[in-house]
Amino acid sequence: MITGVKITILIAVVTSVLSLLFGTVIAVMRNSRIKPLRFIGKLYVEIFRNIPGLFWLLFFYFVFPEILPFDLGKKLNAYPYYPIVASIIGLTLDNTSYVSDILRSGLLAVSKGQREAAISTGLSRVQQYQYVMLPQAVRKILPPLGTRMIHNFKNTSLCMAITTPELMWATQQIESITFRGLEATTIATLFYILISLSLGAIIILLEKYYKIDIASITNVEA
Amino acid sequence: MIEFINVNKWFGTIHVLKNINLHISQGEVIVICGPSGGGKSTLIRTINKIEPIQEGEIIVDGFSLTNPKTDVTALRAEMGMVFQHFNLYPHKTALQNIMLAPIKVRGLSKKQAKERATRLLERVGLADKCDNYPVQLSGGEQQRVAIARSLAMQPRIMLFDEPTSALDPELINDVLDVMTSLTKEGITMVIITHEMGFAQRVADRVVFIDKGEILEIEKPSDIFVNPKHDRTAEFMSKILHIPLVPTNKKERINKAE
Repeated sequence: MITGVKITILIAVVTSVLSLLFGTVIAVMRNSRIKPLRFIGKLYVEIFRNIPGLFWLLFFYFVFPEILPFDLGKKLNAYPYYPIVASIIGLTLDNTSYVSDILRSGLLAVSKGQREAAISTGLSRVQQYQYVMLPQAVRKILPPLGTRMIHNFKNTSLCMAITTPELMWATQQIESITFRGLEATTIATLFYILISLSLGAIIILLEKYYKIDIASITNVEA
Repeated sequence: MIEFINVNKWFGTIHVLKNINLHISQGEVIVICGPSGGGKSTLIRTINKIEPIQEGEIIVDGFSLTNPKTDVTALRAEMGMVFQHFNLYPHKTALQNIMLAPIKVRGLSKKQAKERATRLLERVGLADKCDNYPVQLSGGEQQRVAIARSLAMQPRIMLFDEPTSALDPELINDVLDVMTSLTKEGITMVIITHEMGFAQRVADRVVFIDKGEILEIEKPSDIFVNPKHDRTAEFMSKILHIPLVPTNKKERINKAE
């Protein structure tokens, strides 16, 4: 079970970091001047938001190796850690679609004058986003972003469907071997609650750390 | 330095700038005034291309803004802009606000940028506020930090979009004092303001714009006392709270007598 917890945390952390990264990229793409980029961003979000995460997990574990050319598929299946890799890919793709939309809301909420000020000092488009727009967007959108991360953490339990040895899977294994399902599930639930609460505490700490910025962001007029 | 040639701009179907022709020499201080919605803000925002134009040409420092080959980002670094609502970055301290552009655009080291920023804060009278966040500063203080932020890039052109319109009357003078000291440095300044006393003191010329058209360009001593157009006289009377008669009406009255 402890291994289960470790793997759960591993998947949660990796997918969170990756989805923040890709989510930022997609959010910025959707605000781009280049029409194809905007289209690809929108397409991505529509595809991955409207199809359940579990589907993508199943897809990447069962279907993907079959459609790969040559023997790549066989090699993938033979790789003992492939369930974990497939979990990471599936969950990241799913989470990214939500994170990017949350970030996009944050970007919309930053007042236009901020970008104009950045433009007027000669910052390039990338610099405008990196130093002025995105930092403010993230601070504005911290609550829903944090909530989404907690949700992503709980979604790791879906990975048991593709035999990833995370916490839920471990619980089921213990139950089928020892028939002590109640104890196992209770302990697993406690683990989930504990970690979720810790994530929640991190969000609260972050909000406190940024309190000056958040005060000015919420009080200043447009 | 700045040249408008037959500039026309539309927002959708609304014609906001009509056949603007204006030449601003290096080092000149131009005040733009006029009624709300007349096009003053739009005009000044075309100078650093925050607003693009559909017809005509704008030439800044020899470079045409409408030419796609022009590096507008590099040009913008040579200009500074001060906004009515300050637009300081709320997630950065006063010092950090000023340091950002010199470091990222001019490649200054953090130490050099900090020195420059500190000097500028001293210059605008806010040396003790360097580690304050914008939310901790009054409006006048924020605007002075904003001016310092633009000056950090050592621009040759400074644009001011109603810099004191959002300030308490008591704080306006602090900002105007900083702006007055700038006029003595040879920077080309384009200022939108309703502070006519200030305009009288520092402007080389005053541009009156209404409904997208430039109606008059005169020296401050002329435009406030002897406006040529009815509309200018009407506007100036309201702003200065004194009755004004436009030159053409004066002639008619004289002839009638």
